[in-house]
Amino acid sequence: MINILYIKIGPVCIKINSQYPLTIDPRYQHFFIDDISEENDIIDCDVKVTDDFSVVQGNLIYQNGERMIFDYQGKETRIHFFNQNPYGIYREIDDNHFSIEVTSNIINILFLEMFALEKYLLKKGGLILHSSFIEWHNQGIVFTAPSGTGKSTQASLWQKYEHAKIINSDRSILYFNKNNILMSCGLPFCGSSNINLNKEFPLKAIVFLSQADYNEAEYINISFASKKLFKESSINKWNIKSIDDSLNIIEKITKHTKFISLKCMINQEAVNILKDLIIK
Amino acid sequence: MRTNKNFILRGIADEYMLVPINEAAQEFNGILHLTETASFIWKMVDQCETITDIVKKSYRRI
Repeated sequence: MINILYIKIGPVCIKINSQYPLTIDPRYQHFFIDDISEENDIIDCDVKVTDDFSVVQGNLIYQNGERMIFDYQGKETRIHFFNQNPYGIYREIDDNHFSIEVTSNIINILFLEMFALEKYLLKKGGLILHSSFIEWHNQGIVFTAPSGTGKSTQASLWQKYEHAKIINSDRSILYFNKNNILMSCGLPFCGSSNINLNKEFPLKAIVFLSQADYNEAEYINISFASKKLFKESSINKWNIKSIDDSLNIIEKITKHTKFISLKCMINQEAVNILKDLIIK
Repeated sequence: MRTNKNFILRGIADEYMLVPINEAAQEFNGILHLTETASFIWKMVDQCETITDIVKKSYRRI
């Protein structure tokens, strides 16, 4: 018997086929859907739960502490590691089909990390941005900056003083919907915050944060914004086409939203000066 | 003379960027903004034998 589940993350819908019963970690349950009548281009994922991985072939093209990536006849294979131990293998079968070998039958964050979401998102015209994402008056605002700058702190200030809702404290998806509206969208990956609402809103502004001993908000030029977006986006930098496609999306994003630099402290004034610029 | 093949020149919204690929992308997370003149020189590097050639082409362009 084949067990089938559907997960929808932003514009990407994945059909998970498994011969083994899978258990969904409740923290990610809200990304699973039953009704797929509206979905196009569903990606197929075949899951095999095993401790005995099959042999990996191909040339090693990238590695870091979390994964090794191989190219075999133009298709990617990824070995995923946790605490230096391999826990799963992702294999591309064709453009809309991949397989996973994994040691656990629990669909948790490690399991979802294997989905190469950024790759399938790119085909839908989207990117994953390292950012804190809030909803304010039915629009999305994303705060992006290197780790430790205070993205989630500013998001919390907006929650406190402007009753904004935090959708995700660590990442957001930016993509263009069928009406060519730039959307900000929640996803399961949320760092250590555990805030990962499955919501999406038209994007109002991208805010580039930096710490300061004063508060200052100003619009920034496209060149600066492009560089920052490239740096904070999940891009497969071992793949030239992926880089090129990502830059095309970044260029399109630069034409569809406001970019603001916020040099800030942790106080209400930081919220107010940003708000003033956003609603101007 | 040859450009470093670990970087590609790319235009974004009328701006020129040098984007790291391959090994460079693993060592450097970011992109470099080039002025119009710098991007011209980058394009000329693969076509010229010497720096003098590039300078001459730059003069002609001005």
